[in-house]
Amino acid sequence: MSESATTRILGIESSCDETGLALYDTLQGLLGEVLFSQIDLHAPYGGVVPELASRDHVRRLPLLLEQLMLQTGGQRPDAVAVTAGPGLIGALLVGVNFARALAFAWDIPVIPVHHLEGHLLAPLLNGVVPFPAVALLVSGGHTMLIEVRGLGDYVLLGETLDDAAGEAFDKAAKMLGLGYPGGPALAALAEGGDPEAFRLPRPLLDRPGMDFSFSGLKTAFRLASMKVPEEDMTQRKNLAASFQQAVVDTLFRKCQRALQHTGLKRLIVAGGVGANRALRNALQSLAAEGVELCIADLAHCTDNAAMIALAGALHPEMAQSASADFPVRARWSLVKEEA
Amino acid sequence: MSDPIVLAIDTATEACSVAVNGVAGVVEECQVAANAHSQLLLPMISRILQRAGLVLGDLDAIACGVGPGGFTGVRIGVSTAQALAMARGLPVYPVSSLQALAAATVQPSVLTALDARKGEVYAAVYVQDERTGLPVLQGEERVCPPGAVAWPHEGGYWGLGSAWPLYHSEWQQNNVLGWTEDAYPQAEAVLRLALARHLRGEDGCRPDQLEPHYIRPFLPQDQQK
Repeated sequence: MSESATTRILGIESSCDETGLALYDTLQGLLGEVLFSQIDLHAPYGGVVPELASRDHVRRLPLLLEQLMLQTGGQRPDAVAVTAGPGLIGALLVGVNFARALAFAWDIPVIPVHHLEGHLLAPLLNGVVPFPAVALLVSGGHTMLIEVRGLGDYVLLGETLDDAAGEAFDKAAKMLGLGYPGGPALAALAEGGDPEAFRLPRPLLDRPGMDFSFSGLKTAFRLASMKVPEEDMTQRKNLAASFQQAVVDTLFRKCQRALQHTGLKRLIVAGGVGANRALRNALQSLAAEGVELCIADLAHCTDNAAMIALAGALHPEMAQSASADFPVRARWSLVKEEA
Repeated sequence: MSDPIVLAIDTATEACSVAVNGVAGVVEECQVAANAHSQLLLPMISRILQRAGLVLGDLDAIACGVGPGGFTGVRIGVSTAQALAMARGLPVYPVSSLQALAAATVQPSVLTALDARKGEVYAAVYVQDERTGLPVLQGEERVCPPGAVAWPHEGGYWGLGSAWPLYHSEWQQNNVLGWTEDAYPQAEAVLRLALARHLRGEDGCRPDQLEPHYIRPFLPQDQQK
């Protein structure tokens, strides 16, 4: 890595349905970023189609790199950080091979980044120093509570036993005939609805522990939705609001529990569901209990390359030669297994 | 005018193959290993450049086998070629992996056929140009069931590619002289084909125009749950 005081990292993200590049400077912060979302590509299928995602990443990456270079005045990075997992293997391989070849051609090191660590560190893009802390990682693919003891030192407190929270949102939205991705659509429908109108379960709240389960809630939602006529907009809004409230309540109470369990006073919220306004509002109330809330800004809750560049910048010890052995992992645990 | 120095790669099949034309001739390396191309490719490029006494700054162009073949393998090669070319400001020559396969033999008439799974093959007929010795496409490259392969002329065909061990009995009646089972698209052939195009005055394309040549469209209902 460069001997100068400042280091510029090019971040590359292609683990799912977002293609992103960003340039991050260890002194000046984020210098520029570009992101292409494939949402429209996958929408007709109601979910991400892996082969279509890979095909789009390979078309998009060179164009996005050109854009980023224009945006940042053609500055050459000192290292390339790239998402090496977890994610869709074909999609990851596109970004990783692109990243390694860039690093090789520029004769700079490459840094493999864990996608979830990128999410976890995303609040740092706003200059917040979030350790030690409890982290709620909540997206379409994950729902976890993690004790962040320090950089790279993560202990699992609880995780979902079935669906991820974002997945539950998407499935509920589908049952109401809303578009893809369903989460934001359901949240929009819930605006102005009565969150008390339907009694939906808060799974696992009655039991100790910090694990989550959303499948029972999903079933209760389906049964309730069958009684709501499609043209009854008020009831549809109420049902959406009730569902959202049940998810938010569950996430909120487990976060509270994790904070009590660890005695920590700081909560990081990361991942796509972190963009949900009802969740953000609910968590704000923790401030009254003396909890410092660290949430990434809305643009950096969902997948992006800025968080990957940042995570790379914080892990200079992971820098390696572009032509060295470089595993790409569809599955990759972030945490030490510990009670 | 001396030849431009071209780094060539092909990763469309089980073979991960790289080649470069150094001062003392072509230096190449090929490893047959399925699902390892991502690990193999850059170290191989690094090694052949060293063996050829070259640095990346010496290169004038990149040549890339763009398929058809394994989707993931093709993308590994294409992403690598795009990034090398962008970072060094080089043009790229996309080369059909079937044409590169056809260049593996001196036989005048070749049916190249790669196993495309799902009971289909990627197939094309190539005939050697007498003047250049390079294979010229007859008709088009296509994906189809083995029974639908086109045999455009009477002359004896030589078979090349991974589909031949699977379907040779079905194809035997079409005046087949013989077939080679373990032939792969090689970067050395990609290199020769790119140099020939350069000689003809072709400039190659911009790296952001380099795309995989899948042939087979992807229909999401095909995908396994």
